[in-house]
Amino acid sequence: MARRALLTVAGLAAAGLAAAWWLTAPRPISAAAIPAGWSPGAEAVARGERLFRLGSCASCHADPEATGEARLVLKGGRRFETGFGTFVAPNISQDAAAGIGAWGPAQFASAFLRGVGAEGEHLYPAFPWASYGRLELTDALDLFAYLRTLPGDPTPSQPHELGFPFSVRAGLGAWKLLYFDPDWVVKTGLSPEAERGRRLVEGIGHCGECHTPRDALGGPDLARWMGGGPNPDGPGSIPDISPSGLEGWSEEDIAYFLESGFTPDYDSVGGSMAPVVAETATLEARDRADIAAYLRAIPAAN
Amino acid sequence: MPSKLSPTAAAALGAALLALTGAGLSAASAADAPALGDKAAIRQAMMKDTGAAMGVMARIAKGEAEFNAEAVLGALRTMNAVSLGLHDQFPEGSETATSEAGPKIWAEPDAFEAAVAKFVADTTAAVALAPTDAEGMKQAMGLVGANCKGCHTDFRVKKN
Repeated sequence: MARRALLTVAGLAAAGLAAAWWLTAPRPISAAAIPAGWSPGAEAVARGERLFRLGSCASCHADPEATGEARLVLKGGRRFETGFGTFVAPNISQDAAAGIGAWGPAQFASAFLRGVGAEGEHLYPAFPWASYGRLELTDALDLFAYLRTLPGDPTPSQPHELGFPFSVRAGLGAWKLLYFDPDWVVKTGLSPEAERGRRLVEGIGHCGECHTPRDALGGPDLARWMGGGPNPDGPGSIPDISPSGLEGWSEEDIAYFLESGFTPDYDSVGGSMAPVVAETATLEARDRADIAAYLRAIPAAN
Repeated sequence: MPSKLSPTAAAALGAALLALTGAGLSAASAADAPALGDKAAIRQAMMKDTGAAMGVMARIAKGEAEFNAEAVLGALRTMNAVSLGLHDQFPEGSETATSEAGPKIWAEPDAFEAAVAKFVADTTAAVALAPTDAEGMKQAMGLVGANCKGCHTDFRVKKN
């Protein structure tokens, strides 16, 4: 009897482990999902360039001191000091050895939309795939097409410097189960303008990565979406940009801030938001208006 | 504590406040005036004055207000006065609960001094431009405006 119970327990434990392994295993996008004969033209590259600017990829992946054309050399190296350890942005230039020059479209889409690296490993959510996961496969392919037009750089990627248990990548599978939801955060009640803005803010713009507070495991507190909080990678704090934080701002004020960097009091943008505004200033006025419409339409966080 | 305010700073601050009163840029009443020993409050008031001055020009640039040469020159002089007074407003240990002065101000004093000197030079040049139309004003704004973002990126820590 005791023996049978023991076997049952062992069996259950094995099944549990198997289930846990299955539930937390990386889920890459298979090569079969890529349209046969995928061969991006100039239009796909142009759409990808727009995504590249909307996502401000260069802010993290270019040398922080780089300006102008040098911002297109995505050699990585920028350090993010967080409560979990130091993350180092990797080389995503077109160098075949140091960067992603040898990647195929499925590998890129897996990293961008699912947080799965080229070796099938989980990627840390410091790379905001949890936001990009709300976009479509075609977006990933467009961005990949544009990245392929950029130069290569042989600077090797540096490893992240994380303490235990955060150094164990397998744990990221559990993180994904808990927090990775590729559906929209604000699901209803949006005008067509605000819905277009949602794609920019919740998706490629990945605004929630800094502007939404995180819990002890680094997961976003969706009940306080865009509610601001402590700066995740430095001193000071990130402002609430939900309606509770932007009291007195009109949609025009928000759009003007994204264009000029000036608040309604003509205080000026600074810190980690300054490079973001450098990118949003180059968008079409309609994109800034859509972002503003979305931010005015979401629930107050605080 | 007048002894803590250098003559240059006091003169600059006076000029800034005068410029504001003269141009009617600030709604702040005398009751809001910071205590002279409270450096954080003084520099915050100076920054608000700079913002108000930028607002005068930005409203014209946006087409919300007519170009007015006197108002624009007043705004540029306000910024110039603030720039001249900034040097003395950041003694070490002057952080307060609401102060957003970043640690790099004291960790890299040479870089901070250089940024302040650039602000002085650019606002001085902008005043000398004495814009006579909106296009000239935008040129002056470009000259001074980059200083806002530059300094706020390197030397400010947002707290709200």
